[in-house]
Amino acid sequence: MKYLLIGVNSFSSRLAYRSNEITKLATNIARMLVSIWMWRFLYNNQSSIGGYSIENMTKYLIITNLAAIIFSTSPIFRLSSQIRTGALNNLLYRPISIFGEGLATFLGGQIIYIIVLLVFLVAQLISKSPFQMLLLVVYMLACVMMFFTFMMLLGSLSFWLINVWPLRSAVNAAYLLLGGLYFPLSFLGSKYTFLLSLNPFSLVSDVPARLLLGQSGESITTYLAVVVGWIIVFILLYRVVIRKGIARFEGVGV
Amino acid sequence: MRLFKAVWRVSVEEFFIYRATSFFTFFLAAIFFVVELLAGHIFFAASGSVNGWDGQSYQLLIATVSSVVYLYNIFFIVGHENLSEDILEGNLDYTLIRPVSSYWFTSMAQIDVPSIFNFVISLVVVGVSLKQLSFTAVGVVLYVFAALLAFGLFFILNKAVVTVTFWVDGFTALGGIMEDSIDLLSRPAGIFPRILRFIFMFIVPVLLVTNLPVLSLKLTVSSYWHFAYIVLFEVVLYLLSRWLWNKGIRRYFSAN
Repeated sequence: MKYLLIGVNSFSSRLAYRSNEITKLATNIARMLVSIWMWRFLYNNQSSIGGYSIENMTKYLIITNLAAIIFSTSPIFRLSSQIRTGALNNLLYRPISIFGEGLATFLGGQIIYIIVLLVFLVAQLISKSPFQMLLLVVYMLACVMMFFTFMMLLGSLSFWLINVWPLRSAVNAAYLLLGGLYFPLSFLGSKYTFLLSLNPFSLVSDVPARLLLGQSGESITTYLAVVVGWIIVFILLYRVVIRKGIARFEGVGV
Repeated sequence: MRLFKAVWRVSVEEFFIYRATSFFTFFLAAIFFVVELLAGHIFFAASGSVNGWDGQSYQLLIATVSSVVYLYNIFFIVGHENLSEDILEGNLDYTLIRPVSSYWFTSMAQIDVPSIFNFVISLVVVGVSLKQLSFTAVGVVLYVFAALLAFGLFFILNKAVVTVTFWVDGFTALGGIMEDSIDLLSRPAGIFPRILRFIFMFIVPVLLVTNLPVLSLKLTVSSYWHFAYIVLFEVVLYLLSRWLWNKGIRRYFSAN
């Protein structure tokens, strides 16, 4: 119940600070449009590049960039700010989990985008079986959990780092490259596409896009197993890092 | 000058105290630059030369903009990152009571030493890109001048955007607007629809300053009047940003 309340509060606060939401959304849409315009410029009368027609490339970029809106890096900077300012004390005093509180805040803030993306993806599968639609929804929800855990793990590095703002550049760079926000992952070399696609950034955006466009050689269940594997790894690592971090946390802020 | 030396000394000392963080900062920022270069390679490997742009020109554009951004980061990023928070939390008092220009002091309160390393790396890539292109001595002079104009515009625009915090409370996404805009507009101008090209070439000329260094190497006739326009624009914008800052600090109050 307490986590539900946190989620509702987070949802309300997103609505209260609409200018932040609109700015972030506009930035993501602008990024998507720039990628599409760049490729339209590069196609320059070519019918296909790397096995993608201009229409498929546009669809691919729309899906990957939409996914990037949901799979936000905000948990890193929220946790980092709590550590840096000492606000984490408020959670440590109370019978509440740092992870649970962060997850409820994240889901509450992103719920509208999650629903929009799921509806958009399921609509692409309208002619397929309900089982496939369900599998896709389960896969995407598992991705939300995996990505959030990964972000919390990165955020908990703030116990040791003074500035985490460069992380924003690095995570964005990984997203752009591995998540397919600029170009399909297969453009990096077809021999390694499968192995490359097993990283968290590709699993949340490049993989669903390729699955929907019929460009993936593997089934969704294979990728689902990998996502579950990552969740287990990240949770185990997070537990170790947060325990060590709290042990050195002085609670006075930096 | 004495103040700048003191800021420099403190920043370097802090860099050595937090060596691990500083190295991490440098390393992560470098990754973003590498990804941008790799993306350029992929774009033009797939399509060859398009409308006057090829892999080398694109690489030079990315490396030039990165150099300018890192130069901006060296001097101003820490000051501007802290400024919004200082305004909202009433910490600006300590700056305003000092006998220095608050406009410049809030921007240059700390040097970001790790960005110096990133700046050097991006300059090396600029050098490598230039070696692959043909140009004249005049072209290089204009190229450097265009890059300095980009540096000036990035500073003034960032300062103006951060100053808005005096009036807008809780708009935390504001700080990232310029960073994202520069990133998105570091592309050949030709990819953008005509209306956006006009807006970002002449009304908020970020696209103009990101493209101008590469264009000036080619000594196109239009690049000369682009220089005149951007110089005039920056002078007016600087005066406007000073005026905005003075209005802002008059509005500022704290119970610190």
